[in-house]
Amino acid sequence: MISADPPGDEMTNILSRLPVEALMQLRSVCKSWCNLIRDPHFVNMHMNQHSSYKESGYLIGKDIILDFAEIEECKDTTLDVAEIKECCTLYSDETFAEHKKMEFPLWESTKSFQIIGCCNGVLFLVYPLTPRSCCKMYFCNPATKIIKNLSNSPVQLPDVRVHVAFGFGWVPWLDEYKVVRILYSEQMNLIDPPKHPPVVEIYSLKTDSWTKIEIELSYFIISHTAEAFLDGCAYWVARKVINKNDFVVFFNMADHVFEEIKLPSCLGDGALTGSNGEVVFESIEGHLSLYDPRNQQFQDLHFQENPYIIELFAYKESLVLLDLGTEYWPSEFHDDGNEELESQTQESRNLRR
Amino acid sequence: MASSSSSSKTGLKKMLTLKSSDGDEFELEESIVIQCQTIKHMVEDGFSLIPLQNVDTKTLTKIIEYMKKHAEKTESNKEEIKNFNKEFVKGSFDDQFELVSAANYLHINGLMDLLCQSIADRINNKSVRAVREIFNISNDYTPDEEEKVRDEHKWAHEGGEFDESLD
Repeated sequence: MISADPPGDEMTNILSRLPVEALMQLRSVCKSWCNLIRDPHFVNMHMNQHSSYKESGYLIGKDIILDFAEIEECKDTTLDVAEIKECCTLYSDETFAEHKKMEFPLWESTKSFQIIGCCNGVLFLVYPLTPRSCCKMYFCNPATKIIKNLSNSPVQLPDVRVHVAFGFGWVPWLDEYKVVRILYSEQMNLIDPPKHPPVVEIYSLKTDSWTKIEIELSYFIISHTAEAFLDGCAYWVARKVINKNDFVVFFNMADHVFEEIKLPSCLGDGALTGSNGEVVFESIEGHLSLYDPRNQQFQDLHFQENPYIIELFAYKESLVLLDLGTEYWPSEFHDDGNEELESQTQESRNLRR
Repeated sequence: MASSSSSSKTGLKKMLTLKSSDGDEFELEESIVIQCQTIKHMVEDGFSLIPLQNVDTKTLTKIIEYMKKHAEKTESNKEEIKNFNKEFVKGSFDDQFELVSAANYLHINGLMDLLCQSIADRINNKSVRAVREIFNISNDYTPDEEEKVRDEHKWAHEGGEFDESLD
């Protein structure tokens, strides 16, 4: 007979093959199972276990659900008014067919979030949509519906439009989730280099704190969203204004150093995405090339991407963040960016009428 | 003629004897038995009679059946092996637990994967109560504690019908 309570090797192996939803329910079986399921070693084992439930990979992207509710007060003209709710949609990474929609927890207050990155089943979300120095940041695991509200950075600029670039990912050799934030004190322009070097900070989940690092960047990192993450390095496209050639810059989240990769001249400019451990460079025409950091070569994928599918991240379901316990989604956002949210909501209301 | 050719074949092969916890002995070709990491290490240490104190005759018979079939694995009989595997995992939960325990002790990785996945498939979507029964686990939560754990992730308990059956 196998040992089930406390779970022995065999029981642990069996449980590590179950989908997240089943495990969340089975936490109620007994205390030792509840403890096992949130144990970081088990969380890793579950993530790496081959299982019949995890044969295909997914892509995740932000989406909306239209929720039709009958409005009673307009009795004369009974209208179906659609309430717009934000959610995530999972797509198969082979067929691009829609797999399922996943709620954000407490989604009535999740309007206008932006997914900045996704790693090991955890989304890095920023609110509000416009990159401001004081935006709120969250880690969110849509499979377990666990939310982590990141502590505020000590570096705060006046609440004006600035340019910001983020990188988020898991650093394998430190077993740690980190965010890098590159905060420019001015809006990006593609004519001149930045007047002041940006502030570069690293967030570590283990300490729930930010550390400022001393690096001078003399160029704009163009995109704040479409970056790739591979082997503990975040990748962006950047532009040195003088000769206007784009290049790829990556930041090593363990050693805290920036390095540059020159793009082949045929690629011109465009954006980066990462999928399944590879860095994909997408030119403006939607032409894809694969970059392999091991041999530092670009390879033409001979593929035209569908320009309508944007900002998708490679996703796999996981239990990551479960050991943090339950943190509830904040219900109000009074002190920051609320104006913007209000005006957006108003606009969408006007559109609907 | 067939029997003489097979006996001359076995004459060339190195044979090993496995002894179950009930004292029954099984003679097998070494090439079949080395799928099992634990025995492989004992063979490397020079043993040819291998006592398995944790595996009874019933379980060992099944395990030998698995190892014999999987030793025949080639490119062309994939479908046959697949069907064999499907039949192999059909027993009662208690028989499967005996097998998975033996597979873990003997370090037969392929069998471990097969059994653990099949048990996982069978308990997926079972109710909490059914899972406790199947694994003979007693509920050590107080009603208040159980309520609290449920409330933390209430949605996971509301996803439609759960299977209460014990097979």
